[in-house]
Amino acid sequence: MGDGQRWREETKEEGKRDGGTARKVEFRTLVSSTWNHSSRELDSNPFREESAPKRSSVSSRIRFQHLRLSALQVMSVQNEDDTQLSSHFYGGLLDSIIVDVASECHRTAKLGLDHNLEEEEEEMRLSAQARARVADPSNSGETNNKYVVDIFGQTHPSVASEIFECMNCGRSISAGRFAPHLEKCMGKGRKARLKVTRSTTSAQNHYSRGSPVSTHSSFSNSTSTNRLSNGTPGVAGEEYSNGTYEGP
Amino acid sequence: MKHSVNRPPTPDAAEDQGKEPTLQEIINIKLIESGEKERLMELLRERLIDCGWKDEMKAICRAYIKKKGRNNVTVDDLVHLITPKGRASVPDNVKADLLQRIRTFLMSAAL
Repeated sequence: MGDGQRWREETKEEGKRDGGTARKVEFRTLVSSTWNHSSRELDSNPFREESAPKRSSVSSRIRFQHLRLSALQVMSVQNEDDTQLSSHFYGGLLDSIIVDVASECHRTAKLGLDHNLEEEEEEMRLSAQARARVADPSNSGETNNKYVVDIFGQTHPSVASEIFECMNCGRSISAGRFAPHLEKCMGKGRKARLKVTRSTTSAQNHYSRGSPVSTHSSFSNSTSTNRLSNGTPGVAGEEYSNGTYEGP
Repeated sequence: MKHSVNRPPTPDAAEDQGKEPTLQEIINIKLIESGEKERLMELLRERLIDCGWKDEMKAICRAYIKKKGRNNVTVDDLVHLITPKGRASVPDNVKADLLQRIRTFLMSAAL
């Protein structure tokens, strides 16, 4: 009993030093009352001394003590409490893990990293179909027919047929003939060269983007002959037939 | 904007001083301070992944998200969705093992 009293005195002082939190003092009185109820062998000095090693601070000793005592409380009750307590902690752990899983799933879905949601499935199916078509041995290589079959099953004609306006001369040009047209139109070919030489006096600066013409003359003539022999459709063909291109 | 996490209000420090720490709180502190809680959590996580529990839960979540549309789902919805099913579908041996470990810790902490 004496011990318990001394205990209480000490703790009250400690409480004052700490700024007197009511909670600490109350708890310690609870501890001391439990102390009084416990068995004789525990209510002894040596027990208390050994539990408080070289530490000078009273509060840590007290904390250790109250942990022991509350553990005694645990043990003094039967096993059912124990099971309940451990179930409680197990439930806490499981809840944390469940929240983690839910959060992870939510993040994956929101960031679009999950490839199993509907739209992606459709795309996957299409690409699987395309792959099957490529792997299919009945489709031979590119040289089979005039039209090449690509992995989506689309075919393109070998010459593009869309028609649009040339930004230099304003003519309607077929897309497949646009590059050669630009060569002529912008100063590489003979006709363009004629344009340039006619107005060299004042307009030389304007035609500075045209390539130096003399070195390219033979080249352009030979290529033009080749192109004519292809018999390409469209307006571009007519243009050349109008011009006076002849072999060297 | 929709709040996706429901948080209980932070407890006021002044209110707390009237309460004594309960047995549960004390043991909780002991668990955390000794590092045992972290170890137990990692162990449980690993066990649940190994037995396929995590994949089951993710599949349930994905099915729900697919049904609702991914922009209408909150973390809270998913938590409420998985919690009952999750608690029930933990394999018995995993649960028993964890409970045993916790009980052992309680005993050792008491002594």
